[in-house]
Amino acid sequence: MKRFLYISMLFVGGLVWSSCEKVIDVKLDTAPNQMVIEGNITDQNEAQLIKISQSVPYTDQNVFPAVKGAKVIVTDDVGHLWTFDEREPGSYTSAPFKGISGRTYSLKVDASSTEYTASSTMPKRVHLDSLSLKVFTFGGKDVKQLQVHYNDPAAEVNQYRWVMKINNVQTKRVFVGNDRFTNGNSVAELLYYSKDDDNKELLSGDEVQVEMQCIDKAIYNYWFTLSEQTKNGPGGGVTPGNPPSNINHNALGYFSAHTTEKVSYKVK
Amino acid sequence: MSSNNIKPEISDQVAMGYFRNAKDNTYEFSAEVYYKWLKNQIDYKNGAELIANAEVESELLYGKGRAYGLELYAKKTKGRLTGWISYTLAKTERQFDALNGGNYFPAKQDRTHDLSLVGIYNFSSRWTFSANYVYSTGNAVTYPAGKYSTGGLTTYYYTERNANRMPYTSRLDISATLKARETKKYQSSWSFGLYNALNRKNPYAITFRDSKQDPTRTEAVQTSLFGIIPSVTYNFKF
Repeated sequence: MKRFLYISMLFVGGLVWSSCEKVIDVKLDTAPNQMVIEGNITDQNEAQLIKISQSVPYTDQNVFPAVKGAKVIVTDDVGHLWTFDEREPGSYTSAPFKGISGRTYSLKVDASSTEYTASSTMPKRVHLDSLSLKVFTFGGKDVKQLQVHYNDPAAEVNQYRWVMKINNVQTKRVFVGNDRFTNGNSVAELLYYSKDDDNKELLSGDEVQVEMQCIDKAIYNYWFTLSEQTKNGPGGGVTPGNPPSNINHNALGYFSAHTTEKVSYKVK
Repeated sequence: MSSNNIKPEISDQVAMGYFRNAKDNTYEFSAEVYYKWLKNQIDYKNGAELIANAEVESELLYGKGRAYGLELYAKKTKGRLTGWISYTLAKTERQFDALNGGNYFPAKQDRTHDLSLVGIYNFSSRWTFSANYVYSTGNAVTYPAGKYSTGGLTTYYYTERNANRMPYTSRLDISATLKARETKKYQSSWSFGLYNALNRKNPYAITFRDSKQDPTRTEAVQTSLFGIIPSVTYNFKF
């Protein structure tokens, strides 16, 4: 019996491995401007801030028009009521008060003849112990990353959000976490940050500030969804959608009652 | 895969076609239309948590789909020049109550136009030339319709799911094959080829970001993978 072996060899003459990026013009739909509400109630004794603005078409400049003349009030579940006044266009602030863990805060905004409502429960505070530096060696080069240390309480479900500022400029990455895998542990959470996001890597001498927020489940879903959607295409990410807001009437944004704690770190 | 929670995906299809051969089967032609009903389709919820989640089934949505189209095909089977041309005009849509306001939206792989051409020319007993061309509509994707500021970040506002299109894909590959001298025991040939001979930058992904030159603006960036790639192949049989 004759046996045939078929072997083929491929010599790629000149493999032009040219992955490339270019800025292109795309045709985009233009949606009418949408109401954007950003409300925060913290556990600090301070003037609390609710910002109301509008979305703009994608091709416009990043200037978001303020929504003026709205009526803004916040109540809690034990009968307090705070009225927010417009100190600057679109920025509504209250007299100083302190949010209390376990209480549910409700927001009511009257703007453009619509009544928007939302509520959020302030979780228990988890203490941010410290920040530390983690150095990876990547291709013979040291890449510096920051870690957050905290002790997750075992008794409850916890969600966290971290806001990182480098030399007072907020990074463009959304950092969120929960205790699905780390319940009750002493946690070292890496705030992975790359040069792609901000055109800047962590360098010696940089002043980094991290704010740790303990957030409720709905707000976690909001930030988590936002953190997931980056790229469009077969290789990248999920089909993007608007993050699920806890505000009604299809408003964009969120209303978050959270604890806050800030720690600074100077990169060595 | 189906389970207690997931029903098997089912589809029903009807098709009608016209087939005809001509000149002693030198030419083959066909035209076909089809309609397909898809049931128990699966997609993820918005913001699904998938990493190490034992209850992935709780992160799924169930819906339906429909696909329909027209397929045209012509082939030349004999002579020095052989090859075929095929064209498909199609639509594939999905519907989930919890997505896109419950309206039908295009599946990501929905291709309105899909054209392919293959030609093989036997120039002589030793040289054979061939060319292959494909054209297809880009993937259905979701582009932002607006933007706003949240948590200190520029964030994009989306309206309809998969309502936009990536740029089309178009690629021409050409090759020439030279048969080397053969003996009873040994046959070999050389192939010289050009992949993506027109060096078109076909889209792999489109991303949106704040412009690096002017941070007050946003821009769309297309990533492409392969440009023109020459190749040489040596085949042998023994």
